[in-house]
Amino acid sequence: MERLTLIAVISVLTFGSASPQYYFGQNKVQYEKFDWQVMKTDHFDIYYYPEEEEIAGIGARLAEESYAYLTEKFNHVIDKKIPLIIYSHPSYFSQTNVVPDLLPENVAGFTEFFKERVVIPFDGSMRDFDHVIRHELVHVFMMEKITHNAKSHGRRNPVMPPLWFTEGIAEYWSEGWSKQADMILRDMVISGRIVTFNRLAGISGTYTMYKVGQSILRYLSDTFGDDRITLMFENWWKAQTFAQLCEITFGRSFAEIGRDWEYHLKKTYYPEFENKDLPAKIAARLTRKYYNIKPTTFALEDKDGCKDFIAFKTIRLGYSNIAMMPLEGEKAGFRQLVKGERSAKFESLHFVDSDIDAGVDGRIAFASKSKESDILYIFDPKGKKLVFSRRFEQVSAISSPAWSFDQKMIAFSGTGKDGANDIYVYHFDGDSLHRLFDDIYNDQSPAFSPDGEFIVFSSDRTDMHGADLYAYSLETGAIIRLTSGNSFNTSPSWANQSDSIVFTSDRGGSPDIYILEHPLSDNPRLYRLTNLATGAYDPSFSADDSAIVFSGYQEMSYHIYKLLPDTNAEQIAHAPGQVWEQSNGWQPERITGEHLAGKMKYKTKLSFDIAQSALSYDAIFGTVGGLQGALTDVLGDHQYYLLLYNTGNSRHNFLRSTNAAVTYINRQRRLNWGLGIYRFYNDYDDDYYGYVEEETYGGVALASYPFSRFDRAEASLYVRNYFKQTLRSNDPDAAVATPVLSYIKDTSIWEPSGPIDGFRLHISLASSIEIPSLKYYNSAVTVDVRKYFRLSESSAYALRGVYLGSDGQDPQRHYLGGSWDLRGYPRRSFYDKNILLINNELRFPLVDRLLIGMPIGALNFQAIRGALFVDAAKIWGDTNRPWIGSFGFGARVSLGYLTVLRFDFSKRADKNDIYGHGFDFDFFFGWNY
Amino acid sequence: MTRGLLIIGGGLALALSLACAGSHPHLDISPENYPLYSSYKGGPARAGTVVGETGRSLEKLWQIKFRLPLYYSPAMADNYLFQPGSDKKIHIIDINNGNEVAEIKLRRQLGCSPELVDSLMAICEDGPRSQLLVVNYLAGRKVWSKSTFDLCLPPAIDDGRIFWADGQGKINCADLYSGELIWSADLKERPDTGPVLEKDRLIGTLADGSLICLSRNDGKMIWKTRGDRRTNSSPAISEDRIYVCFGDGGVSCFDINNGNQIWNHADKPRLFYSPSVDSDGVYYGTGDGRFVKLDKNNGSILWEYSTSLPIRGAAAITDNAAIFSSLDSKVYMLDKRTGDLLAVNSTGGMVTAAPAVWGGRLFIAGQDKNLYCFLLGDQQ
Repeated sequence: MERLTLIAVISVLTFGSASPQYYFGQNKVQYEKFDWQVMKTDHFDIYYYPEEEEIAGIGARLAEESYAYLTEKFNHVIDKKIPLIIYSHPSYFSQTNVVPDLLPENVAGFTEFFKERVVIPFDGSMRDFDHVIRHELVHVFMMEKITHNAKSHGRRNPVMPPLWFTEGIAEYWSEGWSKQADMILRDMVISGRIVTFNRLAGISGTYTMYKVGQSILRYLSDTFGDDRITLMFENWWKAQTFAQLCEITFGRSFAEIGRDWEYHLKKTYYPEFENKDLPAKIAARLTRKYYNIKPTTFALEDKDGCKDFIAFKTIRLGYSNIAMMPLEGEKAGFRQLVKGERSAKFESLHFVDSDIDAGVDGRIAFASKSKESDILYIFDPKGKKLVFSRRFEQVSAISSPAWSFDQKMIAFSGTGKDGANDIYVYHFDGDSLHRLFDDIYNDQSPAFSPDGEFIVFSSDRTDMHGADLYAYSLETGAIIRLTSGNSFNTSPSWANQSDSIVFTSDRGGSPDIYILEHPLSDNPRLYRLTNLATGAYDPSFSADDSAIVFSGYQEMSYHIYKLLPDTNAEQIAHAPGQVWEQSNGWQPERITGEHLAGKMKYKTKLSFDIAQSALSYDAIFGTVGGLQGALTDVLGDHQYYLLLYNTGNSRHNFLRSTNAAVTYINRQRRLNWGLGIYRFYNDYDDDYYGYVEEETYGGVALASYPFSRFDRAEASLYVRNYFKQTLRSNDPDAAVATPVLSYIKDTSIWEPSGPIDGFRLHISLASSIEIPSLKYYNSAVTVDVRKYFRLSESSAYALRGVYLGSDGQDPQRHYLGGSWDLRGYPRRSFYDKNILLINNELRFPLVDRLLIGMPIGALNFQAIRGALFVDAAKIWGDTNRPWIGSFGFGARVSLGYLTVLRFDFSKRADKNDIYGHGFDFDFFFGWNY
Repeated sequence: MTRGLLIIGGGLALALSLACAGSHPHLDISPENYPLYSSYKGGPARAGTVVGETGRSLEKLWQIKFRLPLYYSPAMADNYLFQPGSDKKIHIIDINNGNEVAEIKLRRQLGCSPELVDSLMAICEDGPRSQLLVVNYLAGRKVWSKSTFDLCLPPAIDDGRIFWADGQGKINCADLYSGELIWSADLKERPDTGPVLEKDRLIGTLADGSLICLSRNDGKMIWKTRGDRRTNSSPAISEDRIYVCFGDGGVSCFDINNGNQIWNHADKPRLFYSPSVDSDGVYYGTGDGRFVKLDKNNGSILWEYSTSLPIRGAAAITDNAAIFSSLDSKVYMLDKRTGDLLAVNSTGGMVTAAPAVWGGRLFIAGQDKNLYCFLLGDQQ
């Protein structure tokens, strides 16, 4: 008999799949072909492609500067070249194969610790580029330093720093302090939500954690001296715990440092509150919960007449969306317009990085990633449908589209493969696209003047460490600098009926709203509308200019607010705009010949990526010890997987029981493919066959083609010689070929204890043919469909339906029963040729965080969820059983990395009866379905 | 042929690694008086100066590789180097050929260079339960030990007495030979650096940023400055003046008689190592790779020399040269009058230990696990 599923699972799991995630999972799609080059500098190997050579040269210089800086900070030299892989845009960066994980859009770069590869996208801002390069290099230096320090002193397992420290020091030693960090800490203090030292685990991995860590490091540096932080790394080997390390270095207990830090924060921020406000105190809050940003206003006529609305971006229940509400707020009505992140059409709405804009007639322009690049979309809220979509060949990323008042043009910030972020104007008449600039400056958030003569935008073209507003004359091409000063002036929006620009500026210490009246006149007037303790962003006038809507930060969340401009607003001295010349701009420095050893084409060079002596559990083999290894190149495009283990139970069958496999996977292009050879031997007891001895050797070819991030087709072909001996007759001993075709779709999103929303589908067909007779041998079908209905933030109804069927002269027997499939029944209680299983589960929150004190430390469990379930199954083929089932309740405890420990109490039942006394108990460890 | 001495648990056991017959290692050392056995920094005043010309070239004579990186400079006695390793051993090396002739195994990690006087060696063991050990290295016998309460700073030895700081906020003085406590001064604050001696005075620094001066005879406080600057390295003393490199980047000169600041030179923050001082200048290295000589009288810059990476470790100053090492894996010898480069040579990795000079030779302990010996040639 052939056991197609088993072989497929073993082969693919042990060799690695042609697709990054087997069975389910979303796809990392290699849309672009990169012609990789290597630039060798004093301390780095810079990997880049020709289109981004200028950015790579600048990045190389920034990296070398950071290297010198961090050498001093860590008192450490890294004597090997650090691989730095640069992508010219976040959308290209998301295609990297250095790590298999799908990268969320808010990941600005990462360091892979095994080979210490640093991978960074250029997002258009040189300031951010510098910041992220240094941030990631802090990680590299820290790991090198800790490892070196521990090894030097004979410590094998040094204390691992907590994540808040790791990220906090990376932030502090890369950007020092920032107004953004100040805003978050100030809000935390004023809202009474200071994260105390013993609650730091509760914010692990969040942006708040980065800023809290940065604040703690800043406090340590200011209080004890920055040199003490360096000495902390020198003391690393001495400590058994991180708290002990702090005490050795700073002479204060960890708890004392925590208390002093809190006191310091209060002392710093409380006095500031005297002259500052919170958004909710000066403006009407229009949204109730979740995250809501990027408001834009428009007027629509309905049966009751003309009414003002706000369109905005919102994250609700895990997905980002575009929604609308009346100008009075969400209470008066809420409508979801565009659902993001659930389909290839709207893969990402660029929630934070891109504004949306409603035109005079209410049509909303927005950008979304769709497969290989961004698309400019227009949505008509009146007709409730998408009315326009346009992909531009020369622009891979689109941000913040803005209508002209006559609605004949849309301006946006676009990025090409060279990484340059410039303003483009799309003309509907003639369907033409015009690039206004071609430079290295970061030009963002364009907005047309009502007369259509100017586009105001935000740019760093004069100050690399800030941003100012500029007006571009569409008639003359002149650029006029409207603001100046060492600050960020962003998100300009022109008034509808007056000559005024409203924008955000942090010139006063925190992001506030300002109005610039008559910006292009000889006598412009600047007014400060808010003086917030936190921050205000994305201001926009209402249709009649009577109000300004903005997104405000308060109590660790963003909401939409409506502000009625104060006629007594503070006027700020302001100089008239000046013509900006190219000579006013900064010029980026590239790495120079002195530090540049050469450039060359990238050559594949393999090195170990994962090498470990591993223990694995297989449902058939049980626990097996084995050697697993992977050889990959720097870019992760070429991957070799090696497997060697032995299932023998005595010296005599040692050689015979040796199992080995080698597989090559190529992930360079959109079509991932692989080739492998293997030899497996095992003998075991089976419920159906009794004693089984089987030997398989052969080759496999794998291919996976993603249609989008959410779905893909897979094909594989196994050609092998198969020998099997059982107590039954008709044992095969033949060469067989087995083609397998699969289609996989996955739009699910997860919370720590399992999937909570979306859809998953896996269909697989396999058939075996004897070689060389080409005689049909057997076949198998798998259909696994799962749908998750989100009921609230943390609760959902999960439905799973699975059909496993097989046919042929020796069909596969599928097993059923146990905690993974049919709960309430012992593992593998049933087997047959056909199985249909239906699981229904209501998932709901039980405990968000459980801290159990222990003699040493504490056990911290996050996201404990409850479940009520009903299972049903039908088994037929050799037998024809009636429907059986079970129902019960249980709990799921998150163990991290999306794994759970699942406890289920169940009662068996069929359509007539409920069986047994009390409840059966099952537990399960792994990924919840 | 390697012989070793082994100290286990405070008791002394004899060599484990005897490679040949004989139960006792033989070291051909003729004990003489200070400064022959002075510490790497040049005596209790830790001024970093070495008497004599050192020539104008650095020729590598030999190098010896250890199992783990070296963080501290060797101490010297006659024809032997006492190199502390990260393997909890003091390796005794023949100065002429780089052969290891014996080793002293301790129980814990070492936290400073050894101090040698006569046949005795004092060293501090680092980490939890740190302690000060005095060992007779010729007899292979621990003489005595004292807990330093989780603080490991280099002791100072002079005139038959040993002075050390501990984690209870005390500076102690004991008879070097017996370990009998002579006095203990309770400072109520954790010391930042090991004590430094000059004439009848002992100078130290505390974690509250103050500089203290005690009577070396009875430990009574003579003066104490109130400051808010901390230092990571012992002061250097020369001609009744105290020179300190502070963590905030300041290099300051104080009057040893009253603690008054005479001058302050502000440099980039994060100075980690002691200044070296000779008759006309104060020398120190910075994190941005500059080696600086200040006018000893007013703190003004006389010259500076730039390297590519941070300079770590105090410098050794001879009659004609300033010698220092850097994280750029190089050893530099500058003309101390002009700052011109006289010679440069390479090591295999970063160096954070101070250079040690003795007998026309330069010894560099590197984090690349090697101890290097350079001939200071071309003497004029």
